[in-house]
Amino acid sequence: MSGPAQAAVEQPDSFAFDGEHGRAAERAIACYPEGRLASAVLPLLDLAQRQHGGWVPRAAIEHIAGRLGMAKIRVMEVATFYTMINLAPVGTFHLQVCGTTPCMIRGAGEVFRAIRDEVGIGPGETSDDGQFTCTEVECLGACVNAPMVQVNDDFVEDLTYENFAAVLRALKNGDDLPAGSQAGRRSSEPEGGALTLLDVPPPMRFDPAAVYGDPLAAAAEAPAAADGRPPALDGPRGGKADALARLKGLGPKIESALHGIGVYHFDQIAAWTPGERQWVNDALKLGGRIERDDWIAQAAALAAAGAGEGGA
Amino acid sequence: MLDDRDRIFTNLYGFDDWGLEGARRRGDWDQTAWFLEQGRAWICQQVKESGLRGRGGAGFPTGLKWTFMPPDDKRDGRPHYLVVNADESEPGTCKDRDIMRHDPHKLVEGCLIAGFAMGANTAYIYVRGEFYREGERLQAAVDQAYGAGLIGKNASGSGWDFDIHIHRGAGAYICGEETALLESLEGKKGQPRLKPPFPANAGLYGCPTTVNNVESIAVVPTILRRGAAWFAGIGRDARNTGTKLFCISGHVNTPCNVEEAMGIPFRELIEKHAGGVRGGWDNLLAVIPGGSSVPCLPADICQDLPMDFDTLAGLKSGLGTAAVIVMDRSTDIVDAICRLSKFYMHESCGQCTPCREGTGWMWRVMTRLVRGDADIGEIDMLEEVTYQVEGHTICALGDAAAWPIQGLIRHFRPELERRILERKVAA
Repeated sequence: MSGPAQAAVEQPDSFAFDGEHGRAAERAIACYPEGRLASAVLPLLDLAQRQHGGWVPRAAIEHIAGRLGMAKIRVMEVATFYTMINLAPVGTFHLQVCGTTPCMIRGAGEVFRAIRDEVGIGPGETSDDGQFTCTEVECLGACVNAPMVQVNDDFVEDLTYENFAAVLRALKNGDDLPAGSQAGRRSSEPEGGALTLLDVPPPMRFDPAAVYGDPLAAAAEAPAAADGRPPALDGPRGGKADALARLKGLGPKIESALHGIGVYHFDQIAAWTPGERQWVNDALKLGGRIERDDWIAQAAALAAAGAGEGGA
Repeated sequence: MLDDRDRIFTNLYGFDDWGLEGARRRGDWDQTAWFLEQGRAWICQQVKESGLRGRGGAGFPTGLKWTFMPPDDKRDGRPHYLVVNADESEPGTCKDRDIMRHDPHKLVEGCLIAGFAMGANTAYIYVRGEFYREGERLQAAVDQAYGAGLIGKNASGSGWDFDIHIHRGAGAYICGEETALLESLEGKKGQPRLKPPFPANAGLYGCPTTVNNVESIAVVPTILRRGAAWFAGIGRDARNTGTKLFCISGHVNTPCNVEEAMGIPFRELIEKHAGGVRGGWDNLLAVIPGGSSVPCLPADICQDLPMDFDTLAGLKSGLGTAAVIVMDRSTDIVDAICRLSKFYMHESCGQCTPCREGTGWMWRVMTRLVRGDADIGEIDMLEEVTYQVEGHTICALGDAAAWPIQGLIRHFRPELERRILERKVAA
C-alpha cells in the first residue's frame, strides 16, 4: 500500500529528532493518556519524514520504536500500511495526482500529460534532478475542485493541462507554489461566484426563554391551544382519502397523523385558519412546515385541480 | 431554495474570518454553558427531537447513538471519549474540509457539547493526513478556544473539564471506518474490529467511545440555539430532516459545495447551485448520489428525485455523504466504475479474505469489461461474486466495493453486453 518503491535505498546509520522536531514529538506524545505511547506513532513518523527530507529511513523507525516502547516490527508495520509514509526518497516536490473517479472524469489524465510534458515523468517516477516525484493517489477530498494535485502539503485545484503546466514551470523557476484554485474561484464556491451566503442576516443572540420557553407559562397555555383544532371528519368522504403526501413537506408519517385528527382531503387543509394551522403545527410537532412549505396554497391548488376526492 | 437565514455554515466558502472573533459574530460560543446546565439527557433528547441523522454516510440517529454511552449512574471509572471522524476520504466528498478550514469553531464548540452529552472529558479529532492545512487551521481554532477558556479546565464556565486533541492520519481510506479509526488512533494498522463489542462499550483504549462525523457534531450547537423543531421542520419528512452539505462534482457546469434542505430534488439541486448538467439536462447519463460507495442511478429516474436517506435507500442507492457525482453522456460509465473498483482494491486493509481477494478479482474483471474482453456470462458471474463479498467481511468496505458494480450491472447491463458483442464481431 505504501508509496514509492523502496528497493536499494541508501539508509543512514542513525537518526535522532533535532530540537524543533523533538519538541513537536514530545508535544504529540503528551496528547495521549499515560501508558498509551503507541498512539503517537503516526505523528512521530510524520515528524521524522519532515525532518529527513520527505522520507522515513529505517534508523528513524528504530528510534521511534525506542521512544515509544514499541517493537520495531510494529512501527514498520504501521509505516508500510499508510500511504503517506515514504520509505524511499521522494523529489523536492511530491506531485500526488488524484486519479479517482471524480477527478478522472474531470480530466486527471490531462494533469498526468502536463507532468509528462513538463517534467518527463509518469506515476511512480522521480525526475533525474530529484526535483519531482509523481504518484497517483486515491481521492484527496477536494472533489468539487477536480481535478487536483497535492504538492507536498498544499492542494492545487481546478486544473487543466495548461494551468498545471504553468504551475510546474513556476516550481522549476523557484517560484512559490500557487496553492488553491487555478481557475480563480474562492475555495468551493461555484465558478463565477457564490450563489448563496450573499446576504446572511446576523444571528439572533441566543435567548433560552425565547427558544425553550418558560416551563410554567407553557403549561398554562396548553389548554387554550385546543380551541384551534380544525374541523374533523369521521372518515374520508366517499371512503377514499386524498393523497396528502403529494404536498411538499408532508410524508407518509405526517399523512397518517393527519388522518388521526380527522383530516383526509386537500380542501380541508386549504381551509385551515391561522389558529388552526398553529394548532396542527403544535399537535403534530411539525416545526413550522405548514407555513414554510405553504401547505395552504399547495392544497388549494391540488383541490382546485381535481386531485382531491381520491383522485390522482 | 433554502433561505440563507436557515443555513448553519454561514462561512462555508471562507469569505469571513474563520477565527474566534468571526465565529462569535456568526453566533458561535453564545452561552454554551447554558446547554451544559440542562444536563446530558436534555441535550441527547434535543438532538433526538431534531431528527439529526449521522452525516458520515450511514445516517444513524445521532442523539440515539449518544444515549448508548453509559449514563452517569452506570459509570465504572473508565474515561469516556468522543472521537470525531475527520478522515474524509469517500470519493466525491469534500464537505468536512470546508468546515475545518472555514468554520472550525462550529466543530470545536460541537465537541464540547457532544462530549459533555456523552460524559466525555476528552475528544480526539482524527483528521485525514492529507488535510495538513485543514489540520493546522483546526489546531489554531482549538488553541484559540483554550486561550479564551472555552475549552480546557471549567470549559466555558460550565464546571466541565474538556480537552480536544487533533490527531492526523497518514493516508488510509479504511480509517474512516470507525473501529479502524480507533485502531489507528491507538497506533496500529487501521484494520477494523469485530463488533460487538461496540465502541460505546469498548472503544478507544477499551473505554466507552462514540465516533461521530465532523458535520454531525458541527451542526449541534446551532440546532440547540434555534431549537430542535427548527431543524426538524426543514426537510422532506420527519425521518429526513434538517439541512445538509452537498458536494456536487463531476459533469456539472459549476461544481460546488452548498448547504441545502434535506430532500431537495436532484434537478433543483444541480440547476440552482451547480449550473446544471454540462451540455444540458438531456445530456445526463448517471448520478452517484452519495459518494463512491453507493450504487449509481441512471438519468431517467433523477428528475424529481428527493435527495434524502430514505428515498435513495428505497432505490437501492443511498444518500451516503451527499457527495453527488454527476456523469454526462461523454462518460465511459464502465471505466468510471472500474476506477472505483481499483480504489477499493487499493484501500482494502487486507484483513478479510473476501475483500482482500475479491476487490482485486472484481477490478480485474472490470478492466476486461471496459474493453468488452469477456463472455456475456461473466457479467452474471461478476454480479454473483459481488454478493459473495458483500456481507462477508468485518467492515463495510467489502459492501462498498460491491455496490458500485451492482449498480452498474443493474442499470447499464445493455452497455456491458454491447461492448462484449461489438468486440466479438470485430474479432
